[in-house]
Amino acid sequence: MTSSALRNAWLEIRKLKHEPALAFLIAAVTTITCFFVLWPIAKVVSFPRPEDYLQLFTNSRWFQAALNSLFMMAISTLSCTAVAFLFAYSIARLDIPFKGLFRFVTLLPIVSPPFIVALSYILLFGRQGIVSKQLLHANFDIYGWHGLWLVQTITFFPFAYAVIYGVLKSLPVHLEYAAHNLGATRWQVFRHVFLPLCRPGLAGGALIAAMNVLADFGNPMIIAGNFTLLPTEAYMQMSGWFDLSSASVLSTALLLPALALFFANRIWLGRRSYVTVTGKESSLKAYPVPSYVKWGLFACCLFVALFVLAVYGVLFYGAFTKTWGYDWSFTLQNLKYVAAKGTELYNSIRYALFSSFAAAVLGMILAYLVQRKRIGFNRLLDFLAILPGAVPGVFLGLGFAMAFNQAPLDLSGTSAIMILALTFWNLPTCYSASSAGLQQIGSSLEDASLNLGAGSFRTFRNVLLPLLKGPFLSGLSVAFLRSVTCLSVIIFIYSAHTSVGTVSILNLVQNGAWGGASAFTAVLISIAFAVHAATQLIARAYDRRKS
Amino acid sequence: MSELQPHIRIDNVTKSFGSYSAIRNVCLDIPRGSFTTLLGPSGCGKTTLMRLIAGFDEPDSGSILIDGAEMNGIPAFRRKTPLVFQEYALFPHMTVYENIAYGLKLQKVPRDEIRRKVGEMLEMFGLEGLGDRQPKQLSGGQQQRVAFARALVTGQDILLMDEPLSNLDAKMRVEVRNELRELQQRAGITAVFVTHDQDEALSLSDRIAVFDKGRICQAGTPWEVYFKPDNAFVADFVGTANFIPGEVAAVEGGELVVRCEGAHHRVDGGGRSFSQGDQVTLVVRPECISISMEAGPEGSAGKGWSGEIMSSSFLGRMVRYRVRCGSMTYDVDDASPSVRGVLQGSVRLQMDSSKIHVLLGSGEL
Ligand SMILES: Nc1ncnc2c1ncn2[C@@H]1O[C@H](COP(=O)(O)OP(=O)(O)OP(=O)(O)O)[C@@H](O)[C@H]1O
Ligand SMILES: [Mg+2]
Repeated sequence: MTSSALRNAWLEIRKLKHEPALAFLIAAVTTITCFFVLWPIAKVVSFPRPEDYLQLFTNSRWFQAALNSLFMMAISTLSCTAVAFLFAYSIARLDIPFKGLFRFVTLLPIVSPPFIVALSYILLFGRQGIVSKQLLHANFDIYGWHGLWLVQTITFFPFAYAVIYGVLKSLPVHLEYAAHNLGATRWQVFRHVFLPLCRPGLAGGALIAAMNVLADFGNPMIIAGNFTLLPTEAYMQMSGWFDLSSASVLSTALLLPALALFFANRIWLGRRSYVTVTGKESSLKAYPVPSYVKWGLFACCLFVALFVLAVYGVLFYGAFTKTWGYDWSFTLQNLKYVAAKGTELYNSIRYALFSSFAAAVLGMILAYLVQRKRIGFNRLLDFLAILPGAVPGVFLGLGFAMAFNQAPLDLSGTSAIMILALTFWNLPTCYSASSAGLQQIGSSLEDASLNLGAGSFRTFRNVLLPLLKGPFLSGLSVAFLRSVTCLSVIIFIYSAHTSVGTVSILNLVQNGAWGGASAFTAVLISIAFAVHAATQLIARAYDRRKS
Repeated sequence: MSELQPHIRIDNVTKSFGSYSAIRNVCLDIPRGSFTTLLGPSGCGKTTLMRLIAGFDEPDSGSILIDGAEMNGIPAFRRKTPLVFQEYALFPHMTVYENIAYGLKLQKVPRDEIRRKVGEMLEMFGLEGLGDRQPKQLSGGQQQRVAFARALVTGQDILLMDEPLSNLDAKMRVEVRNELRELQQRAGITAVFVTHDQDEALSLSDRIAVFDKGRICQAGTPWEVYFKPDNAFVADFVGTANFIPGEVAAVEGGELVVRCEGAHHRVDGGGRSFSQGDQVTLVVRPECISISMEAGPEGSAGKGWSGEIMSSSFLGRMVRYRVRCGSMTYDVDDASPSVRGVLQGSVRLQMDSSKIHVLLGSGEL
């Protein structure tokens, strides 16, 4: 079995002698990916001495941080999954108004900076908060785990929603009719048929949410106060004491559960794939639910939706307010802040453009090699391409900082390291998009092109590239958004010259400059959305031309 | 380039997927200018062999030679073996014109000549005016014609076709296959055609290679395959056959006397050696048995067998009966049903000894 696999690999590799350029490409891509994915990880994990790792258990502060991380992961994942299910069920199954609004609300947090909810939360409920101070004249202590819990729920439920909704939509409705037909009540159908069928979706959604919660850096930085978590503690060790060893230990402690979740999710998705294939979308209408249930769920959705809208509303309001909490008069003063930080903004966009483009190209090439070229180590390449997705942002940032600050490649403080880190951080996103796109294209198209006399490169260019434009663009645009709004990866690698918008916002927040922070965030989101909308338009125009 | 050298030679080729052998020790010579059909049930390895010839996969062992040149290791895009895909594989992002022109463009043919050649193809396949359409705006039959045009336009002397007609309706299939045969003969192309439809195979081919489970069971002319099958699988897969177990009672020169079901038949041994006492199986096609109403005791009693009709199905040009004679059940065709109407009850069967084919062994499939 393995010997025949090796034989086949050898045969395939031997064929490459007719296409030396392809062979070179494979070698180059493999080397580059190995170097920028494995090397930083190895560097971080191997940096501390073995006994340093023991401190995780002996150092009570660290142990507490680890416990806190797990605790937040548990409760936020639960709440994210619950809210996500609420939205998914309401949108997929209920005949309610405002579905467009609800869909929009499930999209917003995905494409926003990771700390925006935390920032708004302070603006709403903090000591100078518009709700707490102006409306209720109360003073809450919002810093700590409960504030973080709420903020993470709002920030990460959309990720779970995407998965759960996908499964709910493809559930065969006729099974429920069959159960009703056999005499089951609505509640029994829900419990005995609907929920069991949803379970894969719920589990998948929960895993995605858990991964994001665990790796979350921006929200805890802003709102957790003295409640330390692994990512923030790692950052403290690094920025406060330049203690690489401690930062490495803490990041590695974060990496292990992250990897476990990630691969659980991969396996889960793999298992699910054939469930959804058979569950073809039905034109049957779902069995109606009683109206008090329906409107009850609707009210819940509306409440969450309004909260999310308030998050964004207050941010834009804050951007044009003189002194939050004291002087509510209109001003453009805050935008001047932003203008003064023009370099950072420029860097944000520049790095995002370069890195998303690089990630999209590399992701597409990798997807092509992995899926279409039998080269003997396809699974290794696949693993390398998705691995950065499992690595928490802080870990990756730390890894780049430690791996590329000396020979053979000293990049510390350069733009190159920022772009490279963001590129490989986004690689899994783009790779998955291209991979999914490739799976839609039957391999017989390429066979046909080869058969007519086109070599691998021409086939790729003439046949695959035009058909992959859609996934390429969508991967590119998501990567761009993620890069512009990224904080965790770059917090360890930026320098005075290469600082970006999100870092400035963090500084403004830490100095209590809410107005400036809001304005900066508002500008950043606007730019990100403008670019996102532009790529969407291009993609749509392309689709229209195609049909 | 001698006339004797086969255009395509498949020499002892084996191909496995994991532990499953899809092609086992296949040898086949495909003469230049011939129309050769690979016929076999679903999953027997026809597509696999085509992909090996076209170079999408490499054989595990053995070799494929085209014009005497070994093809192992030659990538697909250097082989000049245009293939019409089972599912057409038209490029969805190109128009019909661009699809057909693609191969020429790769050969850097001048623009004017491309236009001329593609125009010819469009005309030849009745696709005039459809050049600007996207493939999905065409009917299945039109798409299939585009696939043919795309494979033929480069003017190679080989054409591989993997069940190209399987997506067409019955009437269209017959039309297209006649056109195809004409075209192939006119252009002198060496055609390799895959199908699991025996009618298609018999009507189109110069030679048929019958496949089963990755092996070639028999290769020969349609005539040979139909009337002189090498084994029970071929006999059963190509057409319908009655298998009658018997024993060789005597060998007289090239002829055998076979005893079966209490009767003796004098049949042609087909040049193979039998000896007295061999267990054999007679293969008799339904149309080689004549059926008539039981003539009563005074008629030609003793000739043929009497039997009882169990069921009949009317197929238009003929009626097929299932007739029970003792322990055996026979399929029998009556080619002129309109004259007598459907028969019922007791009948008499007679075999045309000259069309009986003998297989050695008990005839297990
Ligand atoms: N890439 C592959 N991996 C594993 N098994 C394969 C692969 N391709 C084909 N097979 C197996 O090899 C056998 C032959 O397949 P092939 O496609 O050649 O059949 P076929 O004769 O063309 O059938 P059909 O008439 O249905 O098209 C099948 O059992 C199939 O499952
Ligand atoms: Mg096939």
